[in-house]
Amino acid sequence: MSENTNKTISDAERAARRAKYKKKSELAVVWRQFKKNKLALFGLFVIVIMVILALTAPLFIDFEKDVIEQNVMNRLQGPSSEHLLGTDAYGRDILCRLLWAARVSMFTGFTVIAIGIVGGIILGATAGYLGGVVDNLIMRFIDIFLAIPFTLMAISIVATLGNSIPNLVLALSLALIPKFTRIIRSSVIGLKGQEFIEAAKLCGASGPVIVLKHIIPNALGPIIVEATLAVARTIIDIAGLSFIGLGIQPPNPEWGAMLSDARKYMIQYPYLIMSPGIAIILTAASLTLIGDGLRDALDPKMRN
Amino acid sequence: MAKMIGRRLLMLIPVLLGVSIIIYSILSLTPGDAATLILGDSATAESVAKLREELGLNGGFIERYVRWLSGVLRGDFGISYKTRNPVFMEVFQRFPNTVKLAFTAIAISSIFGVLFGILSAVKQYSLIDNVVVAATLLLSSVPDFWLGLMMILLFAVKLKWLPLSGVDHWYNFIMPGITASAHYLANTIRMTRTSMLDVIRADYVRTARAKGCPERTVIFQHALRNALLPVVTLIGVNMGWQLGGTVITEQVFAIPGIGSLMITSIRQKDVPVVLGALVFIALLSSLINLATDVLYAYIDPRIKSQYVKK
Amino acid sequence: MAEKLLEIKNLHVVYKTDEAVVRAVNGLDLTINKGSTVGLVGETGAGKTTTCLSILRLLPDRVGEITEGSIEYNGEDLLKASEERMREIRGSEISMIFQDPMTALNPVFTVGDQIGEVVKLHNPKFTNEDVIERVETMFKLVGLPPERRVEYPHQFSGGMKQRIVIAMALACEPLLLLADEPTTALDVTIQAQVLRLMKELKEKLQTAMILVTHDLGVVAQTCDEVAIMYAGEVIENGTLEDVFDGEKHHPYTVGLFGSIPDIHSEADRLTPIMGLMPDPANLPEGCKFNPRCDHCMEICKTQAPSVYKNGTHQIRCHLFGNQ
Repeated sequence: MSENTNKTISDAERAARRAKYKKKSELAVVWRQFKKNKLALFGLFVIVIMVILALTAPLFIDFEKDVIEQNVMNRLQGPSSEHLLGTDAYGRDILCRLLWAARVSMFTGFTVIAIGIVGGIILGATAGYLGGVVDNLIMRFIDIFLAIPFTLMAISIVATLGNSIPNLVLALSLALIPKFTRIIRSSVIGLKGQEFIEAAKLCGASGPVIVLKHIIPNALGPIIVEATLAVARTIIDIAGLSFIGLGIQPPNPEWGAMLSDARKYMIQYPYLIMSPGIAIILTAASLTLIGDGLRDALDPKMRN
Repeated sequence: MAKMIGRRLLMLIPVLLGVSIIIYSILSLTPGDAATLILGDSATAESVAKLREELGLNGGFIERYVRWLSGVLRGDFGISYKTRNPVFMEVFQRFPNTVKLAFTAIAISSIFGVLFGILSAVKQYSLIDNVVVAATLLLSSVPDFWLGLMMILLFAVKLKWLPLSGVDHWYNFIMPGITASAHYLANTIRMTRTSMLDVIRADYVRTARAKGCPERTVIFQHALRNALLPVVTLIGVNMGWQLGGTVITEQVFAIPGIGSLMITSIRQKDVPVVLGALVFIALLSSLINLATDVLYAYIDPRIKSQYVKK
Repeated sequence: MAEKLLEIKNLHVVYKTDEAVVRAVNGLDLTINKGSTVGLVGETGAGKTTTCLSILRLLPDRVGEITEGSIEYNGEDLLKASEERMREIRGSEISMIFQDPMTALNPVFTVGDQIGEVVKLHNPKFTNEDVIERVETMFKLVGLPPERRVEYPHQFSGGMKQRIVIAMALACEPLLLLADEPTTALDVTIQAQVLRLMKELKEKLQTAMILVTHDLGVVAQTCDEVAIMYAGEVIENGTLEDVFDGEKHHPYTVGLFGSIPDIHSEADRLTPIMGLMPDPANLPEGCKFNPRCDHCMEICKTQAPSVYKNGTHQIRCHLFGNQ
């Protein structure tokens, strides 16, 4: 009997080890596939540049002086060598504000996704792993959330709790959790019956350990793909909410809020609404390209 | 079939109940006392108390919710704090504009989405396909309100082809319709294209070719109907979301619809109106989703036979 | 001498993918006489399905391409025929039964409509009543109750679906039926039924047939002639007797027969053919079987073997090169 148990454990260990090796080489394969997709590489390049610029912005931009301080003398000047993208209605340099806004958008976007994923993992893994009544309960709750149009829900949350970045993050992540819950739940259900999970169970691993160490890493592919695409959506949504005055508040720069400010002057000074819009498109499109590239790279069917 | 619809309607009840509880709870967190807000700080304590009674603001949370819900079930969504009109009337007045906008957007995204999706799948790797794929990426990345602003600049200000705003004519809804449809159009194209590409490679499509079907029949009869199955679901879900998603477009084009009603009411802390509008839209989008599922069962015999007994 | 119906000469087919050019069929020769049944035998990946698809010119778009050869059908080169002419031929003169009946039927149309479609396509003058009558006749022919023609594919079992596919393929009484592993996806008991049905119908309708299979037992039951395929070539062919009872064989054929269980032999184990099919993107020089062959000689590694003929029996192997 004891011999038998030993054998099972070593089988399980072997399975786990195999999974580990598989993961490493898997990453290399994914990267090799991803590299083939020139558009996705371009997207990655743009995002990396943007993240670097956003992170290092405080080194060459003074928040108070360049981003906030009004300078009526310089108002509404078109693009020039001094102000590459021109100045806004308060005489502030648009380029500086755009760069600072990238910080805000990206920080908010990534935080929202992080909360969405963590929430989704907790709910989705619980529902998928435990099944039965718990699954039913969680999924009905998710259905309820999905029945409320997301924009309206986000608006009412921000409206009642007040305009602030934390509330905005809360509103947007509440809208994402149902989506991730569904994805993770179906991955968990798919993986639950597989042999290496059985093996881990035989080793005596507890439910949470199995989920966190064995199931989630294997379900990571679709989660990452969805997350990348969701960041793109979220950045657009943040801009939308700020545009109608329910997101990030002036004088803080945010792409949507900048567009909202520029709207009054857009007929005489169209350049005001160009650059923030293009910044959003570039960010969202790059993230979408990365997401699509990852999806293809992770799809074994595309590998031949 | 009737049984299926009946069962789905029954399942809708707990969902809608949940929706109303969530929305009610969120909105009840609104700071400040409504009665004081309406009457102003100078009002006497008695008049405030009287108004609170009138507005149904007394009692605990559950008591208030139950009172509100029983009103809703009788078609009484309460009274607007601001205009003192019934909420149902306020919402219903704005409803046609939102519906017009949402359905223009749905029509644009469904028709062109399916059309371009098929075209680009059938001509995979061609120039058309590349253009469609690129346009899809752009459409899904553009913020809808920015697209609206750019269209205003081009078509209303510069070319003067279309009016800036207004809701009286069908052409008033062209720019808002395109604005509100952008993301859904991108989704629909993507989904149709992927689904069509899958189906074109299916065995039964090869069977159709082996029978000697002309290419047109192969694509439009054998492939399309199967490819559209997931697209129908997407369009149904989109419709539900569209109704609630026109808020920003309504703001851009100054359309007096439910979205702008909500924004105004939020600013004025007119909770009953916000509540009524939200519940109304949630109800509507749930019903639309139900209708899509029924339609889906109708076009997919595999689902139908789960519900229909021979 | 029987009349030739279809003659494939020196057929070459490649699949082009981003990474490689896969040479699926490499100089295949095959002749089918009117009314006869040829068993096309070989491992997975030998190019059997590709050959069938080439006859109907249904290779996947942009990927599959016929680079060389001819396929003469009643004296007409199908590779030069117009697309319109091909559509005329498909389903009415040459039809095909695909491997997997589960996916070969369109899930959203009734089976009756799907059979009716091919009837209607090739008999434009038929009224709806004629079509329905024909469909019902076909249903009876394959042993299904005609009233079930209004049902959808998912309402039938696998064996029944294959009967429907067979009914569809035979609805226009074709001269040639390409059956691509028609029984592989079915239960063993159903396999026998379907094979018997196909044999009966074939005799009734005087249809010639190419039966693609990797099951030599099936070949012995149904075929008049046999062609053994390996890496896109026919390496041995002849009548059933030639291949099953002949004295000389290609080493691969010997290997194939060695890997099927025999009730009468006392052997403890089967003798499988060692190694794997060569990667069709990277075929070996000379005889394509040389890396796996027990009798491999120097010449096999450099020179493709010529055909050794003995009456109806043909073998492509250097072992018999001098005879």
